[in-house]
Amino acid sequence: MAMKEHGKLTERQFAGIIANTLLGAGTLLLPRDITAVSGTGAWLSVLIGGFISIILLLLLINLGLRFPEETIMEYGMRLTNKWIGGLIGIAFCTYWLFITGIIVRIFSLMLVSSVLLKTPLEVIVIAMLLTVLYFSRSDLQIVGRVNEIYFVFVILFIMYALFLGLREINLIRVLPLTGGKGIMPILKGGLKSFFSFLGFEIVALFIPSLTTQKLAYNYSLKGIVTPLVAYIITMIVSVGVFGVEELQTLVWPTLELIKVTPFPGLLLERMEAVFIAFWVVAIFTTAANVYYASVVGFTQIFKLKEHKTLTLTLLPLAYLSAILPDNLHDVFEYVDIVTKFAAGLIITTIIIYFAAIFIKGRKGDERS
Amino acid sequence: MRSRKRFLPFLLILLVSIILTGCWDLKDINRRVMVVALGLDLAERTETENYEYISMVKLTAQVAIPEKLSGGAGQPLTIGAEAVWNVSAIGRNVSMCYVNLQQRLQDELFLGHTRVLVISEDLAREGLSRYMNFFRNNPEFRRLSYLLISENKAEDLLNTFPKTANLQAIYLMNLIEDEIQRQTMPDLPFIEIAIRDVTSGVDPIAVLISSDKETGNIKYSGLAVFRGDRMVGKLDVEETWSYLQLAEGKLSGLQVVRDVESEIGRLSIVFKDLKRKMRLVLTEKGNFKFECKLSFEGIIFSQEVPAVYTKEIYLDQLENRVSTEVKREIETVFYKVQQKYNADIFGFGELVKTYMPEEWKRIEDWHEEFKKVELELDVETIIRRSGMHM
Repeated sequence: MAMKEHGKLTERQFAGIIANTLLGAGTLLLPRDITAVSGTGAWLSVLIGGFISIILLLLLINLGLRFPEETIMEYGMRLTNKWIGGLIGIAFCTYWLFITGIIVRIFSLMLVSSVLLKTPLEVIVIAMLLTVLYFSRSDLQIVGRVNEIYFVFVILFIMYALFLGLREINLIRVLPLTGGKGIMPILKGGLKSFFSFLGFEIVALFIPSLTTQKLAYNYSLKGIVTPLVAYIITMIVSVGVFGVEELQTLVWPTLELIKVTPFPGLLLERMEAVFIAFWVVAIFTTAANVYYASVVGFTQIFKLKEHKTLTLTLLPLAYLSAILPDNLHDVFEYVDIVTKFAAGLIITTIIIYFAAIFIKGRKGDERS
Repeated sequence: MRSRKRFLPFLLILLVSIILTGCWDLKDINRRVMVVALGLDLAERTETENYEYISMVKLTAQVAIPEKLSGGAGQPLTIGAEAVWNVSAIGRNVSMCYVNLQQRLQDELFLGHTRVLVISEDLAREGLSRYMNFFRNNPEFRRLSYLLISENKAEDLLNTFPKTANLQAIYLMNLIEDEIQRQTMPDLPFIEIAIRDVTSGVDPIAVLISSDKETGNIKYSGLAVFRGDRMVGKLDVEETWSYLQLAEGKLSGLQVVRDVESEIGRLSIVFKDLKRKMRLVLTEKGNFKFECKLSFEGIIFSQEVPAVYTKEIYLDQLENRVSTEVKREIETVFYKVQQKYNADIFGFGELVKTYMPEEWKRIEDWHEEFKKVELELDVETIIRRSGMHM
């Protein structure tokens, strides 16, 4: 299959894919969602969520490196059997498809309610999804390159916005750093913050294509730590500027944060429009990577020749999942459900596959 | 194959005509009404059929007239009342006012350039948050524009045109920004007041402005003190200085004390540097006590009677005098706010929440607890130099 030739993806592109997939819709909601649970200890929650994700990511890579020629869909079906492996694969792909829609929906909602006041929601959703479609028709090489280049834009803009915000922090609002409510709320917030880290599991599809597989651990860590740092700074800055109680009243805390950051020099004012333009890139890479993973995953499960066959077919489903929630609160509820589902799915998959390896032997196959 | 190629241009024309129609409802920038300042007043009370009193609100928008502001070469620039147009509308709430205001204007209102939002005192005394929500919800409205409380009607303030003002709203904004830079006014953009409104443990304050329509004077006259979202009292400018020294550690204003040597004239001191240290302790009675240590560095600004402070003992005495005076003034303001208004504008509650989260959890009503808060002030002054004159 053309999909997983060796050397299609350099390590840097691999790290770029992880970072870009993580930095996305999560940043928009992160500050409110988590402070609601863990107060000023929210940054600790993010740290915990990040550490759990890192462990899961490393386990996934460990699993993938045992089968250097196959993706998770293929060795999964071989390790267990056609039905269990296929079912897990389908669950992953469906969830990726669903999350594409949700991410696009969240971002479109923000655009509609803050900048493009008179544009119908559907128009933005369709425009974003068509771009995603165009992207997902390309080969893995191109996916890697796009992620590598866009990563620079995304991280530069997020860091710049946050460093401007650092000046506005009111230290009283950041303290106490532990939240002052005990350990339970922080752990709960950790689970909530998991949504912002979702998407790292798509690496299981790309490991066979890496140039030097030995470096997978190293670069995947680089890829996931960057968003983790960005998230922690986002948390601290937004709590420091608004305070926990005010954050609960804001629908788009990160956008509001940029609105209240004065920019140096009087020449440029109301810069949030420029920042939203960059945000489109961040959201696009997230949605596109996840959608691409979904398409490729389905292709491998059904053993199709080319992934281009499925790109257009699956798009209506992504659109449906974007349109499915009725209102803002519905969207947040779906996010909650998806987060829990994904966490469960990733953990069970890892357990099942490792158990299968343990039972069937190291290579998990009679071939070895 | 040939027929397919012939078909392509038509397809192109079709596509282009679909894409380009996107501009059919575009609005030029000069077809927008640029609002530079907004004023909110209490209009009148009306009785509805079910004997419910509804207070009507009056929204005044100061609209910039771009043609008057452009001013070509050689033409004198229009200033003051000529450059802007104040339009008002009455409604049941702010959004009704906004809709009614829109009906009086040909083009679409645009709030994105609003610099100041003026709210009249009588409206602030009824409670701010229900009026502020409109602006919080509006994506155009700047979170960093200033919220002012007007002692007169807000409409009157917007109709007061100082002689040097090119655009009245910009004049107001510059007035505030200069005061903030001089550290005589707390930096209170709209968002800060909104944050203080919802945050427990701190009560909002807002800048008070008074105006005189006849003379065109606009004056900064202190702070409006809120309890919850209701305005409960005022601090005058000198009290505001003390407030700033205690709450924000800003070195605002002048300190006037009596001369040490001759006891006849007065001395004015300005402060150059201020270090503030705050410590929170729990007393045996279970009350909170704030130990605040302020160390000032002062400069002699002016003297009424010539006295030379060459002797160490005189300087020491002068420093003591300044310290006692500052301490007395700060304490007066603190007890006034604590006992009379019972509003925690100092943010002491936030300090408790931050440094004693366990204690904070057991407090049900911070305002009640705030009544019992003790303040221990320790003021220290060093006078380093005088001005140009010995």
